Amino acid sequence: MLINGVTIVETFAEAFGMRATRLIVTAETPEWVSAAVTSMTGFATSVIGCGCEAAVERILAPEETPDGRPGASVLIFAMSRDEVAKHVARRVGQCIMTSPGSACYAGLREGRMIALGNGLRYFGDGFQISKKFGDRRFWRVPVMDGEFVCEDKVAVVDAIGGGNFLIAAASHRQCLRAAEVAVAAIRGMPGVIMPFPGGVVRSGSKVGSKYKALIASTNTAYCPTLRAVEPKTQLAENVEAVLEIVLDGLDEASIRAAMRAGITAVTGLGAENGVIEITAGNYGGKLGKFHFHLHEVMS
Amino acid sequence: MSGVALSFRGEAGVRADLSDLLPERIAGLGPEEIARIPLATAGGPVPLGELFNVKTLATETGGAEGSLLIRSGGAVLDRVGARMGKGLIEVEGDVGDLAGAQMSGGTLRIRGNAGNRLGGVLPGETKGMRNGLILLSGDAGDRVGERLRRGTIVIDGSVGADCGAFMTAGTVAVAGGCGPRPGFGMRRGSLILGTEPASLPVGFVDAGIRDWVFLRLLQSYLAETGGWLAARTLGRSRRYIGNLAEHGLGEILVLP
Repeated sequence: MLINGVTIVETFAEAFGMRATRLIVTAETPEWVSAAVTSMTGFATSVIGCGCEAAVERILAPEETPDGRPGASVLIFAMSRDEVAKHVARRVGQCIMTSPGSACYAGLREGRMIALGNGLRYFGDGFQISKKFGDRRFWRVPVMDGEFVCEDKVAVVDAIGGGNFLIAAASHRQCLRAAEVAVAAIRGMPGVIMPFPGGVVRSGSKVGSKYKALIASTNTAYCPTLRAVEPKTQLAENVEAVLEIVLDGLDEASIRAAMRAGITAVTGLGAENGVIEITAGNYGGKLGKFHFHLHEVMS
Repeated sequence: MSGVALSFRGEAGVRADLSDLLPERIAGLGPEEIARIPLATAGGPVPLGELFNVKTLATETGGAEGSLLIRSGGAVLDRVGARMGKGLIEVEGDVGDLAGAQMSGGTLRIRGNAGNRLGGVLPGETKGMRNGLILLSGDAGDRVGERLRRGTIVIDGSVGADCGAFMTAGTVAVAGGCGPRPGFGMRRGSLILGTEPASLPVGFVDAGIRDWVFLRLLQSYLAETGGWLAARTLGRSRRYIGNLAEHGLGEILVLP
């Protein structure tokens, strides 16, 4: 498949089942929302090293949040419900509760529930207050700037991690620009996040390593500097850089829509801007049950 | 069938106990069956049909399944919605004592005034309302929300003495004035006042003034129901905590 001079390789992105939840974080101003969620989603690029993957799903206007203040929705992914619960407790406790004027609410209420404020309330040392309005329970935990308001529980749902596509370009600058365009097109789409820095990965990995202690290592087939010595290289002679967009989503449709939006944006730049091909990362289809075939996504 | 409408057609001043008339009780019953439900009155049990015209709501207002509309007329109807567990009761007119007492769910909306012990405790019991929502457009008597454990009571008018007495949780919001001793013996819970009370009982202390995020959540919860709190512009509210003799985890918030 060729779109605007860019080759869409006939391959697929291989993604895995995960568990995820959505949190709504609010604060007095958009700046303090940003401070809270930036802290909360830090060091959450990959479950391999971070235990969870998290990022801002989208910024919310005051009329979209439970308390009518500026906010953001955050998605957190992990390999099990218990892992999601563990990281939610840690990150909300250390990054949201600590942030001035913040509050935290459940963004998902259908599914198996985990503790949100239900565990953090004990920080109130007996002075915490429960408020139940309708079927929603909130905790008011006294803190030094007033009260930290946090919903009691949040749902965890089945989700998908590891949707991806790779951008190969004629120069590093052109590759980076294409990746930025893709991220801009995807950012804010519902139900999907790009957990890596700026939404982009430059150190794509393959399974295994020459070192027994490592379960993954650099994706040599897509390293331009190894093209001459790596027999399995997948790169054409004119490719100078490859960047990957990794996507975690609440369902297949979200990831598919995000991949399509991102790839469309990149092909919009076209070959004239140095974009050579779009491909995807997979493990031969043996590890992940979700396969996103690029030609189907773009058809 | 959908909901049911009851229109009082007896003599003004008749006093009747409506505690057996709950949405969960009448669900699935036809008008004739409902008309045979005995009501306790001062003169002994009387079939409901002798005091009320019974119609299905679909023919009148298109009410939701299981909802109950009561037009109280000149009757004094006690215990309306007492021990109600789910569904909706709407009353057009005044109600007597113990409306919504010991509710455990559902919504009781009264477009009129209420007597004593709205959302309170039935005689011989020790615990009040456990859940649900009471909305009152008029005034209420004494001991509103007595021993409230959970749930929300919103009153657009004023209330009598001992509002929120011995509350252990939940929320009572009163737009108008309060009689003596609001929050008397209160252990936990929130008493939200739209008007500064003339005095507070001993045991409450001033805990300062600020914006309260949880009030925004309450306002959002009430947004579709109307009433004073849903429409009120929230600002910095003064908080009194008490009763200190009862652990001091309750609060009275006075809105600006």
